[in-house]
Amino acid sequence: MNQVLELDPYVGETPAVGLRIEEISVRVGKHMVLEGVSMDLPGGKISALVGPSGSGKSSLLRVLNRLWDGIPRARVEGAVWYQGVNLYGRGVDVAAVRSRIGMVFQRPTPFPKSIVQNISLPLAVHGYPRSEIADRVQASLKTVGLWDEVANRLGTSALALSGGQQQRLCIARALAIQPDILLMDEPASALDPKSRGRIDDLILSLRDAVTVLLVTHHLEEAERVSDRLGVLMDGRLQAFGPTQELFRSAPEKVAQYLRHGSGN
Amino acid sequence: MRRLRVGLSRRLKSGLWRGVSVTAAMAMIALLGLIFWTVIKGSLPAWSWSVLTTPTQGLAGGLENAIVGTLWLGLLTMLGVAIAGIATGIYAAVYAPLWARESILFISDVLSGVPSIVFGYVGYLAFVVAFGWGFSALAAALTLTMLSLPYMVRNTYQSFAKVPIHLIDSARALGFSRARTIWSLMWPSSWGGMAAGSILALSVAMGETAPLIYTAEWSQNLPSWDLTHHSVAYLTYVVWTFIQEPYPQANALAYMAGLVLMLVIGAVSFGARVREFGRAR
Repeated sequence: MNQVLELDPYVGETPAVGLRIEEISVRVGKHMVLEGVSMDLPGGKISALVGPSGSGKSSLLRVLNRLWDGIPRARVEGAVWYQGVNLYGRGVDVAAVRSRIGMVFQRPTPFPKSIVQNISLPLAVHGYPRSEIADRVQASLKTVGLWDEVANRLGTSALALSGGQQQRLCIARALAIQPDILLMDEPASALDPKSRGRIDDLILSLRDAVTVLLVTHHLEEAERVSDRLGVLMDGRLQAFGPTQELFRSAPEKVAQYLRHGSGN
Repeated sequence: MRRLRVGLSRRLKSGLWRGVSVTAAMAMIALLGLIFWTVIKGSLPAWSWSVLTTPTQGLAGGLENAIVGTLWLGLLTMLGVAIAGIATGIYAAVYAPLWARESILFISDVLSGVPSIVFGYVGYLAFVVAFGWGFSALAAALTLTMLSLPYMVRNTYQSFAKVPIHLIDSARALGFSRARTIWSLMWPSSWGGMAAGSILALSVAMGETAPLIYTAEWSQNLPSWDLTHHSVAYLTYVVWTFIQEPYPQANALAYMAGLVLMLVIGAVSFGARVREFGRAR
């Protein structure tokens, strides 16, 4: 299954950049969603974030590309450092942040447009020259292994694709604008087992080129694809370290969660 | 074990409901038929093709001036309603903080309950008198715009609010600005709702009488295309005025005006539906 995943030549031109998360807290109204989370995402590595439902995994992802902006009563404190810039500092261009730090959601969210437009629209928005767009569309579709499946119907609606294809299209869409960091919020959880496997392979193929932070419910998936593993519980980061090490030995509370599987 | 057969009382009940709803639907259709029949029967004596091509002369003649005037006012109103209504609806759905959104929708609902003659009076005082435009197409169209604005605001707001949040989230996550999200994603999927809103607003506007008597007055001539200081003819005036005259000829013309108006509005809504139907397939 791996052979279809040839790497986008545009991805990885520069060494992958990491992210430093410093004392991040998120409050929505009086409710504390995240409390004092700090972690370093090493460049080019795949980090996974696991934890029970409602532990704040998705909330943390939303912090990293500033999706909390404009949400009523939500407050984010702390800092996120990216290339020496605090993303929560003054005068940060949010659109630029989001073009460098991409996001893939749990459910596939293709735009109700053609397959090509799904990728060319973000490229156009970020000012890529018209002459480059077709090449980039093709390259990113190849990266996610979708090119051979859709090459002859690029003009048809993206909504006609299967769930797994839609999700890969969304990943291609995120990769097309060359982010350094890709945030993935349970990207495979709404898919069938076969499509899940393909997404996992795809994530693995991104290693070294892109820094990935993957939120997942499936411990096996985390174990299989990630270099680093973080465990969130009740809005606090309970452990963060090399995945295999963490599975071997972890604080009691974490170890218990890791043993008893992916339940809520 | 529970019996699998549906019991008699349940069958009776469901039959009763079905009967009531079918009867109501039939009554509705019959009523519409009655209206059509009355109007058609009343208008028969006035029928000839020349009705469509000659202007009214006194209490006789044709309806050309009124038909063209109604379309002219409808066009101007639609322009005003589309611009103001879509802008307001988008503001309410996308930009406005909660209190502003709720206020806009509340005011819009209140506005839709104001009697049209009040709009006419306000339009008269504001546009005809204070602005000094006189009885005119602009005064009339702006009055009709105020009156039909709530329909457009509601429809635009609802069709924008219906765009799934996950779509908007993913556009934001890709670094789209709000304006870009509106134009590239929300606008195309809201198009149907906005079209429906402007059609509804147009039909409401074209069917009004009271606000026009205050603002457009009446004219025996074709519209001059001047926006101010020239009164305009319109179909509802003929319906309202000619039906009270003691002359059968004038009465028939009133019925004819009603029929033409119904056909015009019917054609506009039908056109919109065909479009929607085409999209649905």
